[in-house]
Amino acid sequence: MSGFKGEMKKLAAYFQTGVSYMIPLVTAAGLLTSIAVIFGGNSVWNETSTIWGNLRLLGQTGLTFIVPMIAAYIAFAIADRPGLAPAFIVGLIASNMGTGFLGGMLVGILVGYSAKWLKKIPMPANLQSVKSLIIIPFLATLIIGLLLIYVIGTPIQAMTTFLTAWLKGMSGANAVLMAGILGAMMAVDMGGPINKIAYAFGMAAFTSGGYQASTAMLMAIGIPPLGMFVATLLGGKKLYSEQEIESGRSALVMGIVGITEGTIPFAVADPVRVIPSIIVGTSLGCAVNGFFGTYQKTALSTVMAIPFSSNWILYTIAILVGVFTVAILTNLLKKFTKSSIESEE
Amino acid sequence: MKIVGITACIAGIAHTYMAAANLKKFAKKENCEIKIETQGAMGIENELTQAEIDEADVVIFAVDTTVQNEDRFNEKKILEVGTSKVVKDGKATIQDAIKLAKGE
Repeated sequence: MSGFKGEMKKLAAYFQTGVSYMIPLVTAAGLLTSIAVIFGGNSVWNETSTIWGNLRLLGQTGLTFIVPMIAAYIAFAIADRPGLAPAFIVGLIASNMGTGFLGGMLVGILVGYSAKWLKKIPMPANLQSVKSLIIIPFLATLIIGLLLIYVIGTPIQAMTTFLTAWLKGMSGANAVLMAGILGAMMAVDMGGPINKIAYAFGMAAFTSGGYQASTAMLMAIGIPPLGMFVATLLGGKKLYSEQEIESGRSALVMGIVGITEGTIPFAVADPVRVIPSIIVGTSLGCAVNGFFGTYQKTALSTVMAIPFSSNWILYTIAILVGVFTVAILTNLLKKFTKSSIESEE
Repeated sequence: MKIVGITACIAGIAHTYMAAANLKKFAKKENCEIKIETQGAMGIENELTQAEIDEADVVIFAVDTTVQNEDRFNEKKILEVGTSKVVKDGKATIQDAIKLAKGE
């Protein structure tokens, strides 16, 4: 890989590595926080005398690692081990400065490239171990840390504030459009790179309080698998094989817990009909929710977030619109073009 | 022909394993020996030994992220693709890898 395009592709892989390490953190911490609030009520935020208060403590502590962790693992992807420690330290500073997700990503890149560059500096062989153990982590932390604190921290903070205000102020047609686009991006490759770009954008919005965008993104996660489950229910044995009906059941579970990948078996078997249907349905569901202006402030996906939505009836309606659009569209496409399925086989 | 490969997607739960399964399937059809290391949400599974890597004619990286311990593969011929391409068309990936190994 060479040139600008190759470099951009590598950068995308670095970001995706960061996101892939961060996902388990978000799910574990998000779940704990949400369970605490479901069972403990709103009082859990200020106490640790009950089990729910302590669950909240676990979850909330976990969520504060979002920014340091994304920074650390982007740097790790770029520079390998020497990038990890400095990016954790500087990433936590970025988090405390309120630079949000954007700051975390930038810190990851800066620490990563500086550590990679420091690795290349020639040194006498007997100093090699000193270099990887002391010199690189020390210098990378020092340089990027001070750069963040004195130079770039304030502008990123301002940008994050601006972005937050923009996302929060978004309403009407713009909000509907954004939700629709995020929904489509989440569905198009079912957990692949485009899905994760939308995910990263949604999480960025989430960490800075732009709940409209994060709600749309999180809502989109479960719609494709749930849609395919409903499609197998409605279509039955006429349109689906025994095995697909079985996949439909596991898609139900995956849809509820929030794993878009549950849709993949269907999409692989019949991409031409399934993929457009899930894009349209998911996009529509999210757009409808954007139109209602319903939002939720947890990091939970589609179904699990229902109790936390600002209006659970409208929120559920939006999900159902998405799910049934996916199901009906897929089945209609399968029905009216069935002869061509058979000829393909 | 001997092929080794690594698969890794972002969430590490689906594409990683589907790509691995597809590579194995089509490698068998082309009569190639293959071993795939998966770097998914469970961490590294079915890890490649250095001997296996040294013996291989070609390496396939079917990854959307970066490869862990990439320095094991210095000096090898490496085919890099995304996981979704392998899931969709594993045959083409294996054929490309064979071409690369033969230096075509």
